Amino acid sequence: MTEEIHITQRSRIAAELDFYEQLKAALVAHGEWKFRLAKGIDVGCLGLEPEKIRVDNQCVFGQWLYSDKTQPYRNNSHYEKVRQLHAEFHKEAANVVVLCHEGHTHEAKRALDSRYADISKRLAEAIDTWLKDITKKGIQNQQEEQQSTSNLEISRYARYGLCIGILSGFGFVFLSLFLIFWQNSWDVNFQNLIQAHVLNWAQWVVDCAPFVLGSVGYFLGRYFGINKTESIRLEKVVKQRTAELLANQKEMKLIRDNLNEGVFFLDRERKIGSQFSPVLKEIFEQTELSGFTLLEVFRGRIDETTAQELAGYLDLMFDKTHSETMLSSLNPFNPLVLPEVAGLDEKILRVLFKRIINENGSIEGLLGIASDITKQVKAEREAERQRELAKRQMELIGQILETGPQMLLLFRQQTDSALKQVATLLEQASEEKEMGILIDEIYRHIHTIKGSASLLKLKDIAHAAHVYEEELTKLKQKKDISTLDFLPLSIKQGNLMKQIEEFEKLIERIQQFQISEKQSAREEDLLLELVRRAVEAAAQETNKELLFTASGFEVVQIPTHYFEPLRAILIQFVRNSAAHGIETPEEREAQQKPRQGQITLTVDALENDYRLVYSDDGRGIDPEKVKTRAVERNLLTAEDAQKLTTQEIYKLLFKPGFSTAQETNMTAGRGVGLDIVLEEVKKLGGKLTLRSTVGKGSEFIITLPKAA
Amino acid sequence: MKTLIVDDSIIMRTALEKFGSELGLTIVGKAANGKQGVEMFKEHLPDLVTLDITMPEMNGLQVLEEILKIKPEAKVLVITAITEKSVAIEALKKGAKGFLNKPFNEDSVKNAIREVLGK
Amino acid sequence: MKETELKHFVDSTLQYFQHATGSPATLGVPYVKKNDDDLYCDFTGIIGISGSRRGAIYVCVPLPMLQELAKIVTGLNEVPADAVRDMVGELANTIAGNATRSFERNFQISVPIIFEGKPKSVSIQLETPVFVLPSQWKGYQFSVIVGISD
Repeated sequence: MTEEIHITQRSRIAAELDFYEQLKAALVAHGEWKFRLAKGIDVGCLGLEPEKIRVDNQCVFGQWLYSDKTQPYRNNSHYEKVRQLHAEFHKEAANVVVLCHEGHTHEAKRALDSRYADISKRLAEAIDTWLKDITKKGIQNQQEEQQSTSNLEISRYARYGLCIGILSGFGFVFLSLFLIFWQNSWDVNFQNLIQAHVLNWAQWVVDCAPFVLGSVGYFLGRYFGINKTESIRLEKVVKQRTAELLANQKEMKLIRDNLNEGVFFLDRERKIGSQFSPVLKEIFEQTELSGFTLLEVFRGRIDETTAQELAGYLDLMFDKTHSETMLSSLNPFNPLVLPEVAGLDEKILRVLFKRIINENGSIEGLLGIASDITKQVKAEREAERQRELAKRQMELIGQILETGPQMLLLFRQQTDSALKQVATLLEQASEEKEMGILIDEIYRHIHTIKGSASLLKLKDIAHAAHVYEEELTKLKQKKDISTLDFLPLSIKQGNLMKQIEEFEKLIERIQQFQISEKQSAREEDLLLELVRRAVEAAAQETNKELLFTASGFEVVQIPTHYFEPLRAILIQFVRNSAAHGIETPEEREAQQKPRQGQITLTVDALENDYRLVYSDDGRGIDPEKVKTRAVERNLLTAEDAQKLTTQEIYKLLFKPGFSTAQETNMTAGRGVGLDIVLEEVKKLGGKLTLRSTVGKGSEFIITLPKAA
Repeated sequence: MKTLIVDDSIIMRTALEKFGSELGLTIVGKAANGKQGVEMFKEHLPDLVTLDITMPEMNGLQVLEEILKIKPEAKVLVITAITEKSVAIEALKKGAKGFLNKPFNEDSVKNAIREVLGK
Repeated sequence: MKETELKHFVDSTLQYFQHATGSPATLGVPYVKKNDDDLYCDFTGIIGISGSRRGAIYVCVPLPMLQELAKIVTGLNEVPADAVRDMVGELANTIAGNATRSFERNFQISVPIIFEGKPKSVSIQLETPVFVLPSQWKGYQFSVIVGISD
């Protein structure tokens, strides 16, 4: 009977333990779902099937919940509550997935944060309450069980004592009888025996022995039993404590293992301790952490400065004289940007440190809390980028509106054709062709784009073109160019194209709003306006004062197909004048010239040609300087240079790769200007002449045939 | 509390003087460069020094070493730019009691001073 | 598009031919196009990109090359026409798959779509700027074309 009680009790406890574990597991499993869903939403909840999620008896917990194992608890209020909430939980999770599949990512996220989170929380609470209830009951049961066990034990030992006492008592009686018989030479009859008993008081005492010893045995047994059960109880208590401690440790481990943050200990040697949350490995992207310093962990991923800062910061953290709060702003790991390296994406970490003080009041070590904040930071950066983009677009719109439609059209045509030509050049490029020439040709086209863009103050495009040019220059200086070297170039070109596309999209949008107004302005006016703008832009950029005047355009009608090439040519002249020709206002005053540099453009019609004369009153072109420069640039030898006539010297200016500008900036260009001009003029079937007087100025004369 | 301000910027000196006085500090001197700072320190032996790091004549770290040789218990609050974490670390290692990041405002100055004075 | 990313496509392409055929492919001079520019090849394998970035990868191959490649890959002397056609999809899939392995996790590539002649699909569009990586293999010219948003 007693054994049976024990067995049922034990199996009940086992069942409850199973129950307990199931509930605990459910708590963890359902918590993980939030994480899975949150991650899933980002990828359109691929692989998540709402129909399967919606039913509440398919998950491990659901299966258990509806299994026979929970039969005894069906009437329990906890059971019913948990079952209902669990079903609701599954419905809500399925709803999130449905939203997500329909593409309502935002709504899905919202649902996850509101309805789902709510039900999930309630379910967790219900399970938790149930768990607590079980634990409480478990303890009560255990106490009851202990009590009954110990009582049983005690009475058992008492019974043993009683039996032993009675038996030994009878033993005495028999012994005394034996002695009597033996004394009387076995000649004793029953009567004598009675007589002996009655007469012999001692014998009476002996006869009482079974009772006396029995009682004594009983009490001794009981006493022994109490002692015994007490020691058993103590043993049990110890076992229970141990189990509790183990459970605590397990819980600590659970907590540690499920932390999203990497928690670790740094000892005085600055080494990471053996206990840390597993996620730390992921955060630090290292599998071996214990026993290593942070400097070792991040070797190769942080620069020397950061490494020194870290070492210094940690030293100070171990120095109690400085307060932790004051030091917090020196923490180089808050945040720490790990740049992208081969195979590893950029990662942004935050590692916070806290002193651990031991009982002696000294610093035992540091508690480190590391988290991966890449996502947040990237989101912030993206938001910042969007704001920046919006701001730039506003600026651009302003610029576009100011520039006016015709000019924009010209710019777009020109840019488009330049880019197409670059693509064609590259497309037709083969390794046999001289790369230097190819690069020069590309350079010219990009330079044209840069020039026009900076003229129209389209800063971003001009900048992208400038960057592209720089890449070209780098490439040109390289020996043994391989096709792989073109990859960075392609990227820069891609950026330029993106800038231009962005600009065009914007124009299109503006155009949709613009009332199409009749273009009344004459094309000539437009050409002159463009040159005027170029003069203004160049003056601003070079800090010079320039005055532009044009004449002859009221009378002479130049065919419109000359406009686009002329525009490019004239702008190049303007940029050259501003960069090389015209002196600074101070220099000019010193030379008795007006502060403002004079740039004039005249046009007249000859018999077969149009003649355009562009002139400036700057310092002119010094043939000697040109020669020196040409020799420096290895365009010819010093002896050859001596033999050249002035006109021949001027021709050097039109060679690719010649530049007299001391520095490269947006205006001066890099010595491409004049070779573009010559090429353009030749393409149009025209001629280009240069006249110059040192100290007085330069003059470019373009003749273009009347008949196309 | 005798306080010396060592800073090459007049704006900074003025601001530090104002905030310092409001905290009840007695400003015993304002030095415009490191050398002058050390001289004034010898003269007044102040308890607290606010010390700019990037200065002409003698940089803040040198000044720090000099003045702590003269009076090791002096409390020095170094002033550095946010980007110079390593400088702040060096200064603290050399014995400065606190630091203040530029650009600063009233609150950050006062908090830093309180921190250094251990209030 | 970052330079390292573009480099992955080059590496992936060159690796493919080295590993699958033993004959190396070489890269020509890369160039950049706008997405509306014409594109023509005998066969094009297209891989669409979705997730945090959009765009597509085209692998543009002439028929004779495809036939030869299919022969080497299958080990057959005569490869049926539909298998040859399939080859371009397989090629696109492998190149794109390997090249984008190191991209962020939220980056999905579609199954290959095969076009004969000029690709007509508007559903899988290259994003400007479009990077063209012209390449040679056994004297054949083919291109890997990458147009993926940032």
